[in-house]
Amino acid sequence: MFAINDPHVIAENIEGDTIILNFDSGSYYSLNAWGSIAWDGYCAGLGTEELVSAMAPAAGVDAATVARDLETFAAQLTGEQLLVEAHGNAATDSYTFDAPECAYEAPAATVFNDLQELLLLDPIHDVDSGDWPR
Amino acid sequence: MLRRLAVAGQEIELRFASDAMLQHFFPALEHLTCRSTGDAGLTVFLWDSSADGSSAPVPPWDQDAYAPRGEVRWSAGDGELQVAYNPGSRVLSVFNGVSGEAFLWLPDVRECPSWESAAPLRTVLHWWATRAGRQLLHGAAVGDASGALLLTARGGSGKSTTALNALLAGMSYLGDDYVLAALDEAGPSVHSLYATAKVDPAAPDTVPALTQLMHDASAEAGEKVVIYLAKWKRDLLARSLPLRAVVVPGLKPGESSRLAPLKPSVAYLAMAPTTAFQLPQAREAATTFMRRLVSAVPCFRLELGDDIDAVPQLLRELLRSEEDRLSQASRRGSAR
Repeated sequence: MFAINDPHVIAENIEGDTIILNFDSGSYYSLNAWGSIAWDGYCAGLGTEELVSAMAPAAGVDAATVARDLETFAAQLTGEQLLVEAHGNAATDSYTFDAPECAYEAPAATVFNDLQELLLLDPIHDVDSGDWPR
Repeated sequence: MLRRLAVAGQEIELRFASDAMLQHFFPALEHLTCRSTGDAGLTVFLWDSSADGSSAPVPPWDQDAYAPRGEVRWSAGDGELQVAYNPGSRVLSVFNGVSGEAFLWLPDVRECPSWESAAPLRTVLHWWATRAGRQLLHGAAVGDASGALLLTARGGSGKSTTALNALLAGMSYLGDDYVLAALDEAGPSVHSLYATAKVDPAAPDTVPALTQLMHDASAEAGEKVVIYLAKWKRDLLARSLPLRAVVVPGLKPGESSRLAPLKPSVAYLAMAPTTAFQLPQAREAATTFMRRLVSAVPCFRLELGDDIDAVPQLLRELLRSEEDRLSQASRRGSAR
């Protein structure tokens, strides 16, 4: 089970498209339609098996393919520290599966790193007490 | 020295401790000057320690408190203060949202970079606006009697050149680097903060009319030139306009310039990271606001071709069509 890497990550859903900001790394992400669905499921506490059960029939794709795609997607999301491993009871009551209108494609996140310098620049070094750093 | 500003219908009082501080931090804001009509919603005290050094505050936190975006992770105990320190400009910003007071200090105003005076007090204004349910946005805004367009994009996309070109073509100008947006009951609106433009020194090569604005402007090596527009184009500086659309410019050399509808999520992608990653403590309030904004107005992609002089007319036509669309929708609503 996974959870959003709060408070370092904020996701917004804009008319079905999910955009995620990572305030630790300065990277930001755009999820494709099936990625947005999977993201919502993971954030609601669903596991990969439950998502496969919901997505495969709606996608018209065999469960093994969806499972493999979701494992790859989850690895990307945890590798980018957007999701973290979570334990405990899932709050799945809040989740409603709503299949995208487009044909199935493997859930994926497009990564943007062009603004990392805004957050990763660390100019504070060796400041003496009482001084104002440059 | 006191100055009063009117920003998005609210009054802000600036109290400068020296003429040097006023000369450095006021010109970009001068176009917002107003007469005092009562209590200010925000009072900002601005001073530096270049004269004697004795008024320099001593930081009560250690090195570990400094965080990205200039945030200072320190609490005075009651949690009412927001603090940020920009090591590039050495500006310390402190805001008390309960008392409506803010402080801006730096060691020596004479060493403050030009980019800071092009967009002064933005951290304090960001916190103040957020508290009022409004949002500073990294973007430009231009318009006319039909309303305003918010131009938002990553650096190098032609946003600033588009805004300046629109100004030179006689359109109203609300800002280049940062503007203030509101989503009030009356509808989305955009408000001016800074009457400045930061221009690449080579810009007159593509926009020759900029030469007249840049002839006495100067820049530090490697920096853009800051133009103070209140001096040159005061009649075209607008304080506030209703927001009609979000426009995301992008370069398309070899083509003709054109506008095309854009998914709101793509507009959000252009706006949100560059805004949220630069403003201290910007978080869910900012991202939620921007999500609502791109869903509240239509969004367009502006493909900037070789015919740069044609762009202001495209923008004017867009404003007119959006105003007509809203008028028709309003008439249909009244007829029911």
